[in-house]
Amino acid sequence: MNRPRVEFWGTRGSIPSPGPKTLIYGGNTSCVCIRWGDEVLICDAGTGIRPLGFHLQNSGGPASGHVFIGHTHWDHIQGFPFFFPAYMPQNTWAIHSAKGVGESFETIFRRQMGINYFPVEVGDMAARLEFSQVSGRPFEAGPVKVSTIYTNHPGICVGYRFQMGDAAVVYLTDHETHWTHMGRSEYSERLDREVADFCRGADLLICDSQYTDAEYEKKRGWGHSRWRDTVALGVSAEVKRLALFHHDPERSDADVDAIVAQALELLGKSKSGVECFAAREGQTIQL
Amino acid sequence: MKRILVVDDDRLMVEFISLCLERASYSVETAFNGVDGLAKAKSFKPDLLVLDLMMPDMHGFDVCEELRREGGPAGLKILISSGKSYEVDKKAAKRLGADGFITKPFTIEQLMAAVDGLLAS
Repeated sequence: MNRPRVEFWGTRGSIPSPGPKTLIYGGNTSCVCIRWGDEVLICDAGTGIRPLGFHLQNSGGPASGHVFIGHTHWDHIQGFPFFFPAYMPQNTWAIHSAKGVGESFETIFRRQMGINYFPVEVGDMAARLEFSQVSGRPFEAGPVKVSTIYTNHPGICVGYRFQMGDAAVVYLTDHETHWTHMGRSEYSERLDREVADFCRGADLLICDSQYTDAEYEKKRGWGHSRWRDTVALGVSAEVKRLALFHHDPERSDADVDAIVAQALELLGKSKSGVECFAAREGQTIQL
Repeated sequence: MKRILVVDDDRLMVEFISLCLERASYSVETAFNGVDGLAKAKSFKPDLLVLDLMMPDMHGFDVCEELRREGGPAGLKILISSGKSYEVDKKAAKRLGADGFITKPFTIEQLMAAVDGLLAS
């Protein structure tokens, strides 16, 4: 089987942010598609899943597969009601996530399409939709080996590692670096090491990097990381490529470019071989 | 002797908490995941459960909710012990029936104050 291909359909965090300042990196919320042979793995169903859905349905390839939701905050599920392949009876989608606080994943996911929020209910979507709750133990999605880790984010949120033959992609958002959140201690460093071990050696790490240092001072405890800590994670985990992801909705294209320049400078000083870039809507990475 | 069940997938943390509690003459039982923790809460019938949140198989929130839904052992107090310190998580824990929340890492004194306080209430 060929090496996986990763497509970015939504790279924004929190809320869609269309407009002239986000034309390059895009305004759609989180959605990444991994293609490996006939396997279609979608990470998150932010608004980027809408154009992805049309692409899948119209490209003649498979329009069935797996959707992995990190958690059910709006920016990770709000595109699903507009996911065209879910309306086609010939398609099957397995939708995975962790159980929510006090409610099953399926209950929460269905609610956003309840009559008071949307004119079509999940049960009226014609595709076969199979909901499953991840348990924290590794599992298989067809030939793909999937493992999960709880992230440091309000509520319950998980990151995913997809092992596809000898290639690995880690999708880790939303996540706040432990030591910046709780202060430096043996304990916080141990938790950060566990995250690094989860990401260890990945061909591609797609990771939360929502804030600058200045923003983080005001938003500590919001559940997101500074880009410089994400870069440090990439170095410590010895990943091959690092995609800065979940861009803040206030971040202009020029701001993102400036962050990438600083990140590359930082990596240059550390003499790390990590290839770092900011995830851009419409971008495809062939591993 | 008061009985305390410690449930955490972090073995170092279980060891640390158990040692502190045993030195204070509590009877301690342990479990390393939510499913076993729930089962031991029913068989060991502790006075207090020290419960981690982010565990495989069964999240601490689910253990807490399940014990409260089923009634759990009579008079059981639940102390959430987690590295997560988000206010929304503390509120959720309370809503699901937890009696207290202690954020890791904590000192022996902080742990004992939380444990003794709950058992005295």
